[in-house]
Formats: sequence, structure tokens, C-alpha cells
Amino acid sequence: MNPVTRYRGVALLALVGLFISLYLLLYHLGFYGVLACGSGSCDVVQASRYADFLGIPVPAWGVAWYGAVVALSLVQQARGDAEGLLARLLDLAALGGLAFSIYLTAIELFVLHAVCRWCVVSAVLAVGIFLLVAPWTGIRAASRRSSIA
Amino acid sequence: MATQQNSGGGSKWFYWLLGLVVLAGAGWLLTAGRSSGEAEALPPLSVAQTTGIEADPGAGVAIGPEDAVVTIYEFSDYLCPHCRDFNAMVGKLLRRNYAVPGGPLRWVSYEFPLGDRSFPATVAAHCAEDQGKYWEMHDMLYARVESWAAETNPTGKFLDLAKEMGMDGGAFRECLDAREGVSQILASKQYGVNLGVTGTPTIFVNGQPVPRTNQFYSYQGLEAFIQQQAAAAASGAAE
Repeated sequence: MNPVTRYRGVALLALVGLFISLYLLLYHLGFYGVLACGSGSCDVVQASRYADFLGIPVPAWGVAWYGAVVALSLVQQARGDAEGLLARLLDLAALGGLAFSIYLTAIELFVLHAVCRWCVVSAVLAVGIFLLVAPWTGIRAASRRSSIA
Repeated sequence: MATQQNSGGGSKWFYWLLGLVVLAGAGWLLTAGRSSGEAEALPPLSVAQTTGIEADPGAGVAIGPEDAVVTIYEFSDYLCPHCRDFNAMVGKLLRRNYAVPGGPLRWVSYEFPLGDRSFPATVAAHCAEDQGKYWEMHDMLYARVESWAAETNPTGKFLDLAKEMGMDGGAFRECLDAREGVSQILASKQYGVNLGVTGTPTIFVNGQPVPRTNQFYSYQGLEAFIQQQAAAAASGAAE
């Protein structure tokens, strides 16, 4: 898969995540009275102290992160390559997003014993974004190693 | 090569797809907000006394004089973060300051559990009511929500709270196990449904539903209304 296709995939996944984060943030701000959660336990997760991270609501972090990933991936797909500072920032963002999603999922499973459907969808999106970005990081690292050797 | 890929037909489908996702997402956000949007369309409260709806005295728990000039019905859920904030910053303070003997406010709490997870807490509140501690437990359940919200069986946590409040632990436990008050809780929720309550917290001031984004969800807004109503009632009595 060429970098343009990968970055376009990242942009689409991140855009979906951006809307989910916006929905959860608007709920957090009181715009929606009831959170559509299906069979999940969104109410438990939203009421817990883990609903904030460093004093900022987790959905606000999500909006910022997904927004940044959308912007970076759109720039990269327009450039048509996987090189440069912005590409490295996107690599870091993808890794950070994956780590944060693992942390949040672990909190849900092992601390709160409650799973929020939207959190699961967000975690899947973060994994997808990482998988689309990560191979280029590995290939670049390998090519650098071979050129040094 | 990369630039050719980018400027080809592939770009067109990508931007179309991107636009579709944006449209679908925006539509979803707007549709999801429809229930609160309906509430916003209601006219704002005026200072004048409004026509009240009929209360259901059997379902709610009240504090304050029956002849108070302002009556507030609150529909809330113990696991709803906005209800916790509303209780801490508005409800608790207003009840303490105005829902007192001879005071201008009567506050009626109606349970409106949004899901099964918050139902046991409503039972705990009504078991506390049996020992005259409903409002203490009401405030405690919100303040300590983190201690019980994640529990599969929160009975032990509720018992800890009851003992901390000086209640009879044995009687409280028996009440919890018997799930006493369930019919009252179900009636309370049904009453809210009948009144068109779709989310929490929802308040009715003198019988009129208040949009959730309205200033009446602030302490200052409600206090100003209560003081105006009290002053109007006092001047009317003087004349």
C-alpha cells in the first residue's frame, strides 16, 4: 500500500474518531441529556474519576488528538510521501494514541469493570491508525539501519 | 510518482468520501441533540407565577413548606455526572438556604434512573428515607459516587455510607435486600416519562419545564427567581 492510500485511510478513521469524541465532549458539557450507549456501561465510565485526564475531560483530549491526526494525515496524503517532520509527528501521535487507548481500556476492564461502547470504538480506531502509520516507521528504521551498515 | 497518484482520480473519491463522513458525522451530532433541542424551544420562565402541573405526591421525596412560593421538581440519576454537579453546586445549597420551615422553596426529588446500574442507588436513597436520612444519603451518593459506581454489587458500599451517617445498619441492610421502595422509584420514573423527561437532570420550576441550557440550572439564576417570588408574595400579603 502506498503512503497516499495509507494516509487517506488514517484521515478517514481519525475523522470518524473526531465525531465520536465531539459527541462525548458535547455530552460532557451538558448538550445531550442521555448518552446513547446501547448495552454498554458509559454512565459508569463517565461518572468515574478517570473521565478526566490531567484535569481535562478525556473526550476533549480525543477531539484534540483526532483533530491533529486528521490535519497531519491530510497534509501527508497531499504531499504524497512519508518523510519530513510532520510525518514523524504523525508517527508519534499514532503511538501515543495507541498507548492512551490501551491505558483507558485497561482502566475499564480491570478498575471500573465497565466497558463503554464508544471507548471501544475509539480504541479500535486508534489501533487502525497505528497499523496504517506504523509500517512506514519500521521500513524507514530498517532502511536507515541498512544504509548505516 | 506520488504526486501523480495524488492528483489522479483517486483524489476525487477520497475527497467525496471525506465529505460524506463529515456530512454523516454532522448529521449524527445534530440528530443526537434533538431531545435537548426540543427542551430549548420551550419558553423561558418569567418572574410571574406560572401555571403548575399536577404533582404526584406519592412518587417524589419533598423538603420545604407545602405552601412555598417556589416549587422545584428535580428528576435525576445518581450516575449522571451533570446531576452530581447540579446537586453539589445548586440543589444542595438551595435546599439548605431556602427549603427550610417558613422558607420560600419546596424541593421535590424524583428518581429517574437511566439504567440498571444506577437503580440500586435509588433503592439505597429510599431505604435511608425510612430512617429520615433521604437527603443526607442523596447528597452522599453523589459525593461518593466513585466508591460504589464500579461495584457489581454495591450493597456493601451503601452500608458503609449508611453507617457513616449514623443509620441503623441492620434495618438499612434488610431494606436493601428486600428492595423496598422499588414501586415508588418506578412510579417516580414513570411520572417523569409522562411529563416528557428525556434526560437528567431535568427540573420543573413552579410546574414549568426548564431547558437544560437555561440560566435556571445555576444557583444564581434560581436564587434570584426564588427571592423575586418571595418578595412579590410578601408585598402582596402587605397590601
